[in-house]
Amino acid sequence: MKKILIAVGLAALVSSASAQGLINFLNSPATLVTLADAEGNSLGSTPNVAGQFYFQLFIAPAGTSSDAAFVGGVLATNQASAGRFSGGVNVQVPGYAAGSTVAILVRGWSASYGNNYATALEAWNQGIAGYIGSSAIAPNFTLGGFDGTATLPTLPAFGGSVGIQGGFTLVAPPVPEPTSMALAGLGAASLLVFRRRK
Amino acid sequence: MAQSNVYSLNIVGYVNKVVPSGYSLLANPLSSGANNADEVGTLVDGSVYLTWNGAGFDYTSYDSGFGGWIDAAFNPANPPKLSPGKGYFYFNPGATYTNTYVGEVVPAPGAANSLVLPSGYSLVGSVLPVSSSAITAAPVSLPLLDGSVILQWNGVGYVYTSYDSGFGGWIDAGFNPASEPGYTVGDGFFIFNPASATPWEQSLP
Repeated sequence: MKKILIAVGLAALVSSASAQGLINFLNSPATLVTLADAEGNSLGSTPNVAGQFYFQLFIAPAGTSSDAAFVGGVLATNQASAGRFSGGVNVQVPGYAAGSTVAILVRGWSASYGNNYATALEAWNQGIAGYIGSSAIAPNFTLGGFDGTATLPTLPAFGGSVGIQGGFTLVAPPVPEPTSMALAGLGAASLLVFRRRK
Repeated sequence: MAQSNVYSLNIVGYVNKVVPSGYSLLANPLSSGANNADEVGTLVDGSVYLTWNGAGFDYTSYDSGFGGWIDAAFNPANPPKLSPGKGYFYFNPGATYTNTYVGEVVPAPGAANSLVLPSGYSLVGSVLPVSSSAITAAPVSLPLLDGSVILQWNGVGYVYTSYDSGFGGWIDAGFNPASEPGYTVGDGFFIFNPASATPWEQSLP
């Protein structure tokens, strides 16, 4: 019993020694977010009107390369500077201690879709006007904060040797192709004819 | 009437320092005058400077998208002061480059440096622009403090070395014998001083 108590005590000591991991959740002048139309033609950087886009940090175990394995975390919005967003400096990453290595990626979408990525993706897939996109993955990103010995500097999510390399693009939903539009029109017309004959 | 000329004796020079992508722990090795970050080296857009306030880091970034120098809340800020002797973390958002520090050697000939190492952790660098394979040996001459800890940055994390006479001298984080750390010109490092404030004194070789 005494041994168990000592073990519990030590575990508490260790967990309190290492603080939560931190990240500077923002992009930089060299890693701007741009927009593109459905055909992929660039529309330039996101406009310098704050609050038009949401950005979310997604985390997975270090080395993860599959998009599906990432879990959503802290939210950010675009700033009053073209192509820029920020969710803050020294932002906590729940579940990961300072000094731990994780894989990160950032997803962004139009604020008109709401602040939930899954809902936004559904709306985009339905062709509702807006933009959505995802950054490249940084597979081995070290979180800052107090690691039990000293305070590690907090890294920005983008740039440097372990951050996300380069900016990324938010794309408009695909426009239904003319042939499928024509087929839909044909279907509607035949329905009308069918009704009249009835 | 005879006029006497007054001469100011000083040494001016430069130091090239390779700055890799990501964080480096640096210290300005030469005095450029005011020693503000915008005159101490190449100004890189998106760079971040972390200076130690005794308890945590003060964040300053140079970001043209927000008008220049900003703090952690994107408010306008002054460039950090990086006088010789003060260590700082520097985040290089791009590729490796070489920064050239230009300025005066401190101290001037005939004078001496005295940098106070307060009790607890401080982030420092050698005021004198020199390197040494042993940090307590001349010309770096860091005072040998029993129970002190030195944290140097290897690009990913800290390298821990402590001087502890109870364990036979220099040891690593696992209490194993270790070599005395060296010092490379332009590097910053943390030192933990377990005693009261102690001066770090240096003079020209």
